[in-house]
Amino acid sequence: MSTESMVPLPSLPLPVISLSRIKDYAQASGDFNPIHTDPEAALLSGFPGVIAHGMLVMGMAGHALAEWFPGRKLRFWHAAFVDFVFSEERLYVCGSCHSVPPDRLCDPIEGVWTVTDEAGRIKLSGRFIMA
Amino acid sequence: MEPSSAESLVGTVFEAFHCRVDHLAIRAFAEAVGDPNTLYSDTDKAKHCGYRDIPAPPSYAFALEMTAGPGQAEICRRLGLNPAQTLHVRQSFEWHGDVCAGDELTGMTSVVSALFRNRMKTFSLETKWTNRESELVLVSRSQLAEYERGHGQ
Repeated sequence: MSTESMVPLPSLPLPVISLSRIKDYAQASGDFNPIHTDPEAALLSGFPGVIAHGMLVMGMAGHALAEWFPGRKLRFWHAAFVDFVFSEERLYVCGSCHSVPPDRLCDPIEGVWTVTDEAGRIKLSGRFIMA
Repeated sequence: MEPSSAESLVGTVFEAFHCRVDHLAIRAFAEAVGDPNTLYSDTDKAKHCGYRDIPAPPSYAFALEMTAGPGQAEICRRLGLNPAQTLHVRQSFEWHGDVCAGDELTGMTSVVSALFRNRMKTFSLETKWTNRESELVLVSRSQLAEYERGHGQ
């Protein structure tokens, strides 16, 4: 996607991902891989702490799309899980989209989104289309 | 048993699964992902926004795949992957219709591509979701990668 004429969207903070939220998501999603729920298993796998499910972070970021485009429906949503997210990290959802000409306000809106940490390091990145 | 080649695993189809999307599960999932949008709990608001009933949060289909569908353990077993070394590297959803409470869906997961290279195995899986009328409502796609231990982590 060409990034010319992209309109930045307001960055939105994600709620901090606590260990209990990760455990609740394991329950809700059926993904009980111990690297997500057991700090010792995470250490044994070489990680400094438990890793949030990529799909939990994607799921949490979904709210940003509804905030950015009230009244529109998501029709395509993609994410690449670029880097691990650990519990208690402070994260932000950022994005930009193609501008919509005033005579085509009902057209789908295409854009890109990322989840970054406080230092701006990318954790997730992807694309979306809102109808 | 001989290890399977990448080519021989493309086209692997997992058993079709059926599930019902219900209000409580939608609410529980919205809470689990910390989504405060009342669209996921308020039927009147959902109808006002053009839905039949409360819609499922956008990533909910993946949780349905894990709980009602083949799940990671079965996928890893069929593809010869070690779950402890397998990462979910990409995910996408492409909607052809809304997914709402009350829907009865059938999911069919298959392997659409596989690549074994540089001691890494990568698989792309696709789940096609159809409704009671056999209309396609959603295609979800996942990419999984198995890294050999000691790849520098």
